[in-house]
This record gives sequence, structure tokens and C-alpha cells, in this order.
Amino acid sequence: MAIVQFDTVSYGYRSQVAAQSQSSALPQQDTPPLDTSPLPHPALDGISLTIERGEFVAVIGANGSGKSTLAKHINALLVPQGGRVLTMGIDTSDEQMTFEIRSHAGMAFQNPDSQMVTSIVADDVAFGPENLAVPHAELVKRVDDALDAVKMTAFAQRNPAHLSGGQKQRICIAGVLAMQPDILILDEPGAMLDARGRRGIRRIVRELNKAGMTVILITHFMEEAVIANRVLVIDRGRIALSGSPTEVFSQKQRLRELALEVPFSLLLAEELRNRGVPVSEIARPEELKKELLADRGTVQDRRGTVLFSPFQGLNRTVPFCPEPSPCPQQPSTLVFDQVSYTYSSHEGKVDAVRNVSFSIEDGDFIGIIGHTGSGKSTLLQLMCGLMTPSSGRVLLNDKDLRDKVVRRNLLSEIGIAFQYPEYQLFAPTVADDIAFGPRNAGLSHEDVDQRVRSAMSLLRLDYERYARLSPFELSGGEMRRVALAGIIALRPRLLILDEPTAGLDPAGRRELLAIIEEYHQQKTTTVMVSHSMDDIARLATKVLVLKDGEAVYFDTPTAVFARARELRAMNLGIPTAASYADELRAGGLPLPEGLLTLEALADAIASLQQPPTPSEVRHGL
Amino acid sequence: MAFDITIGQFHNTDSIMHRLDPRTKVTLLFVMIVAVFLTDTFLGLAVIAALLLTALLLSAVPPKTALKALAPLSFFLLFPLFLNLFFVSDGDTLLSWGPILITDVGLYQAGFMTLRLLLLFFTATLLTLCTSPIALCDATAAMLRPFRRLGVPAYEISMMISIALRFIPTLLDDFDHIVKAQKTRGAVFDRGGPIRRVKAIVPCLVPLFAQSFRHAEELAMAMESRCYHGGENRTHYHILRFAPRDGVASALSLAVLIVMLFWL
Repeated sequence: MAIVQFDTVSYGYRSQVAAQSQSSALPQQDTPPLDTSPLPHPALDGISLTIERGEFVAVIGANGSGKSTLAKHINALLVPQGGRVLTMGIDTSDEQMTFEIRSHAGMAFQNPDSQMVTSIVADDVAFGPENLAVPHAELVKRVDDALDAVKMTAFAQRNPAHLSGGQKQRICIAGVLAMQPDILILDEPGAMLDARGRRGIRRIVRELNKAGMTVILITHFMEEAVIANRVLVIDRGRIALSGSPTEVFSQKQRLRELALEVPFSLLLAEELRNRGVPVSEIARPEELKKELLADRGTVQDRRGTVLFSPFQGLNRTVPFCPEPSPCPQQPSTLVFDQVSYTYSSHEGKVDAVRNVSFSIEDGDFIGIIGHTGSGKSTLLQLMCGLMTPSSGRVLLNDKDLRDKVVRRNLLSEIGIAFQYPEYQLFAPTVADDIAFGPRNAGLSHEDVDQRVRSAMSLLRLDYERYARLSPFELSGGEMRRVALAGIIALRPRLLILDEPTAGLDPAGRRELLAIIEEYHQQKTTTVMVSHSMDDIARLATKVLVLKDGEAVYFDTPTAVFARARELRAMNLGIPTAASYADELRAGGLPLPEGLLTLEALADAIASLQQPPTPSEVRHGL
Repeated sequence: MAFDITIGQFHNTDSIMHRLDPRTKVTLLFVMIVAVFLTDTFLGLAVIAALLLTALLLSAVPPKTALKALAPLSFFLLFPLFLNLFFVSDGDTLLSWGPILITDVGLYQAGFMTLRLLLLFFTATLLTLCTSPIALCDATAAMLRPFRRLGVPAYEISMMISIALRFIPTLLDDFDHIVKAQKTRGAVFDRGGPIRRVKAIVPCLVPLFAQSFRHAEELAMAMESRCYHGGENRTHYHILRFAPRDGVASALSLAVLIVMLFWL
């Protein structure tokens, strides 16, 4: 029997229903604009689907497609307005059975910080079974088992406030597991986590599913979706695609139309076929790698020393001067001169940043990577003058940031967007919020207006449509762009971005990165912290690697990502293309180093298919 | 991290004082308060002080930590000290210099009052040093339970305290971020008259409210998903159980109280 069954389920949020009935009766200008939160279509529009016991279903779709609404119907957080949902054979509209259903279908959400009820890990995990009135002896065992399943036993008595995002999210999953549900529903569990945190969640979910748990995973990350047995693509409240990951993801054109991403493995397969390498369409990375290695055996030279890489030119590298001698022709914009920052906490003195020196030149695009707690956020705050170094100096155009006069003029020099900048929006209208900075800078009324308009146009926010709206009625992606417009309206010459794409869907990520690139090309310098090594590899001219408060590498992406082993030891990843190349190389494919992009990797693999040219033979390939 | 009230003063180690049932410890606090106010001799205070010092030794809290925890309260000690010292005019004059007049009664009262307050603060500090806020919260709920029949929502109160303890650091963190973000957009908080200063805080308060509503909404959903339905029909992970040591501690404190009442 199906564990979950949807029969032509429809659901519209109240504001939508109102908007819809209004739109038929009133002229167009009275209805809210499209694309803002009241969607022009119901959140769920006649969905029918069946999920069997033990399945692992990934639900993907752009923001606002209705995938979260779908998930909330499974455990009766929402009840269908049309049609019927049966969970474990129970009709979810039966109010008597609500708790029964929720005890069988547990759900964890996006933001671990908003889900926990107490400040001790074990107590929080116990919350669900406590509510189910589980007897004490079993309760204790359940908490232990659940913490063991997510590998957090050692943290049972800790305060979640001191854990990393990934650890917190694992606690939240343990809290659901302790209820011993038959179905585990995860609503974007990785959205606020770094790559390492997401990897941990992925591993746990896979193990749980193998042990027989039915898993329903809502996600924006295609690498999470490919590990499912079945992928459902939701678009405007309907199921647009459904099938195995390979079946769904091979419909690349359709995915792009739906504003979704195509997983790297399929993109690589496509690129390879374009280059005449015969490979099949496979969504699971391991299978693709197996196929690529299958017919090659281990014929190749395994010394692994590559003396010459023909692909270096394919990476976006700009000429740079070797450290430490500064470039004479390019004056440095921002210089960190042996900067340390120490603060005291209840655990004693903490060196957040230790003796960091580097210099950023005009027009650089600096990517900063580092594990959680490596000092990234302290470094950014030192960079924009919010913190002053305990020792050492931060120089902006040769002037010390400690100087009061310099600090006063920082407004037009340095702009910084912290993580989730939309959480700082406050004004009654979008235009007012964006004008906050320029007004504080003392610009004239006309100038402010002009700044607002140009910032909005850069951020692809139509002035006529958005200026008078409240920022709080926009979608998450739009709020993010409004917040960034508020920073860019000050026209900083140095723009600092901390995880600018966190939590966005694939289309939102792509769009925002394009905007950032566009602003960067307007003769500005950009510093971006990101967990996405792919984005860093693609955009950055230089990469700064932080580890325990120290700057361990500061070099071109090619040079930095060549140190895969060292980066992995720091719990950092390398670009997807580079990690594919590593694994293929380990399997015997003699690929050169420094393959950071999809195209470079495809080129390199394709070139192996051709007989080696005399020059390559001479170079030991 | 600077605002970690969930740990507060709690000194996380293992000792007999830590292992005492939190209800016992709360009761001991009240007994000690009553005892401190009942006694009116220095000998009485000395007995209490000796008991507290023993408790401190048993608690494995370094004396330095305990002193540090007391330090912020020193104003409340010094103020009555000076008040008594300078403004009591009964008794024999010990020192008279200009408007300053110190009498023996004043000196005695000042000393006695200050010692009394010091012991009170010390008792409360000792409690928070060896009891986690969560345990205190459990104890509150348990001790309010008998009043449930009178309509006191004992369980809900402890749930509220627990959630508050859990979210205050999160919200303070949020607020810190918002303030920094607005600062980099040119907001100035420390200039101008009072009206301007209040106005300057608006761009920080609005996002903070928005953020707390967001948290509240998500928390409500998560709690519902985990079958929360109020305090009825629910089991507890922490079962507060009295051990023999709780009996010993209670008997001891009762004895002290009786001694105070009749002899000191």
C-alpha cells in the first residue's frame, strides 16, 4: 500500500485566493504585481502522486513552485482545499488524526536556529517523543539512538548555540528521528549550510533510506536530488517532470526552462558527446566516472607527474605578481599588514585572525574560502572598519583604517553585504530602503533618487513596479536584490559579499552572480566569501584560503585548487570539475592538473581519446 | 558569543552541588535567605558564611570564578555601606570631620548590613554557578505544579522560559548583525539629540521585529510538526528525582534555620 497518496490536491494561500477572485472582477492595476508573494496561480494545482514505503523522493522546483506546500500536506501542517491526501492510509483532513499522522511523518525545516526549543541538545531531541508521551526508559533510549544515527552522541549535553550549522541541522533531524517516524520529510535541509554540512546531511539521509526509511527531500541542490530513487519537479503547483534522476535530468532543455540546474555529471556527458566522446546520459556521478574509466583500463603512465598542461589558458586567470613584492604599476587598494584580532570569551582568549598579510589591487576579484570558524567573518569586518585589529594595520589606499577621517569617508569606498542581507530591510518602501545609504552620505534629493534608480536597474528591479512596494511583501530572491541595491547605491569601489547566493534557488543564484560580475566590471574591486568552489573558480582572480584564522594560501584559483589534498584536510572542497578530474586521474586517466571548469575538463578528456601527438609524448603524457 | 545567557554564570563541572536536585537547591536558596534575615548577630552570619564556604568547596567552582561572578553586584554592597556609615547619627561619635560623622552604631550597622547582603548575593550566585538555567527552569515548573489547579500554567511557563533562553542569544546575534549592517550604510547611533538617537535605532528595530516574527512562525511550525499540544499528556526526558543527598542537604538547612530562629 502506498505510504503517501495525493488525489488531485489543490491548495491556494488565502491572499492568493483573494487576489485571484479580484483579478477577474477588477481592472488590472488593482491586482498585486506578478512575481510578488501572492502568486498568480494556486500553490498546488491538482497534484496526484503516490509514494511507496522505502522510496527516496527528491522534490525540486524554483522558489514559489509549491514544493514546500506539497511537503506540508504530507504531515497535515496544511490540509488540501481540493482533493485528498492519504498519509499511512489516513485522510489528513481528519482533525482527530492530526497528531497520529505527524508521529508517522516527521518533518525538519530549513533554518536549524528556528526549530530548536531548548538550549541542550539531548533535551531538544527529546521534545518530539515527550509530546508523544513515550515512557521515560524508552525516551532515553530513543534520544541516544537518534543522536547516534546522526553521529552527534558526543554533543548530547552541549548548547546548540555553540555548534556549526551542519551540526545543528543534524540535531534537528535527530529530533524527528526520535519520534520514530515512517516517513522523513526534509524541507531544504541544506539551504543554510556549507558544502561540508550538506555532505554530512546527504550521507545521513542515504543511510536512513537504506535502513528502510521513506525519505522525501525538498531541495535546491541537484547533487542532493541525484541520490534519490525518484525526482519530482514541481512547477507552478503541478508536477512538471517525474522519474529516476537520469530520466529527469537528461531533459536538459526542459530543466532550463523550469529555471533549474542540470547536474554536473549530465553537463559533462553532454560536453563530451559534443566533442565526439561516446558516453551515455547518467545522472549519478559514480556511474559516469565508472563508464569513463571502464574502457581505458590502466594503460596510462601512472607516474602522475604532469609537466605541461595544455589547458591552463582555459581558466580565467589574470597575470598576477608573485608575493611578496608588490606590483609597481598597480597601486594596492587594500592592504592587510600583519593583522591579528583577538577577543576574549568565556573560554579564554581567542585568536580569530592571526598575523594575516595580503594586498588587494584595483579590479581584483578576491574569493575567500575557509571552514566554519576559520575567521572569515572577522576578516571581513576588519576589512570594512567595523572592527579594528588588535595588532597590525589595515590600509585603504595607503591610509590606516584606524584613522577617524578615513573611517568617516568609508561610505563611498567600501560596501559590505553580510549573509542574508535581506534581514536588514526596514523601510516602508523599496525605494526608501535603498535610499537609506545615499541619504546618510548626505547626497542631495536628486542624487539620491538617481542613485536609487540606477542601483535598481543594475539589480534588475523594475523601478515602476517595485519602488513603492513594501520590501516585506517581496519574495526572498527579490528581497535579497533590494538589500544589495541598498549597498550598491552607495557606489562602493570595494564591494564585499559574504555568501551572496546562500539560500537562493538555481535561477536566483545564476542571476545574482551575473549581477555581481556586471558590477565588478564597472571598475570595482570585489571580495566574495563563498562555499561554492565552482563560483570561486569561475569568478575570482585570486583566492584567499583561511584556516584557523591564518591565511594559508593567496594565489590564483588554478594554483590554490591544485592543492586538493590540503584543501580537503581543511574540510574545504575543490571545484566539481577538479574533483572529477582527481577521481578520474586516480582511476588511471592521465588528466593534467588545473582543470577547474566543465569546459576544461571535457576538453582534456576528449583529447585523451585522440592518439597523443608527438609533442605530448615528449612531455611524458 | 558575548551574550551567552544560556550558560550565564553556570560553571559546568560535576560535583555534589551540581548533582543536587534543582528543586532542593532552590529550596536551599529560600532557606538561606530567611536564615540571613532572621539572625541579628555576627555569630549567626558567621555560621551561614561557614556553611556557604563549605558549599563552595563542595561545588568545585574555583573561588576566583565565584568572586568574579559577585563583582558586578559590588555597587549594591557599597551603596548601603556608605549610607549606613555616614547617615546614621545614633551612638557614640568615632570620627567627625567636616560634615562627615561616623558613629559606632553606624559602623556596626554598616558592617552588619553589608555582610548580610554579601551573603545573600553569594547564596544566589552559588545557585546559578552550579545549576544550569534549564535545570532551574525544570525546577520552577515542578515547584509550580501544585498551583496548576489554581490555573497557573506551570508547564507552559517553563516552556516559555526555555524558549526564551534558547532564542535570546539568537536574537542578540541577529541584532548585532543588523546594527553592523546599518552602520556600513552610514547609520549613526551616537550623535545628535535624544529624538535623533531614537530615530536612528528604528532601522535596527524594524528588522529585528521582522526577524523575530520569522523565527516565531518557523518555530511554531516545527513544534507542531513534532506534535506539541501543550503540557497535558506528555512525558519528560528529565525526571527530577530526590536522592539521599537531597535529604541530607534539606535536613541540614532546616537545622540551620531552627538554630537561627532560637539561638542566634
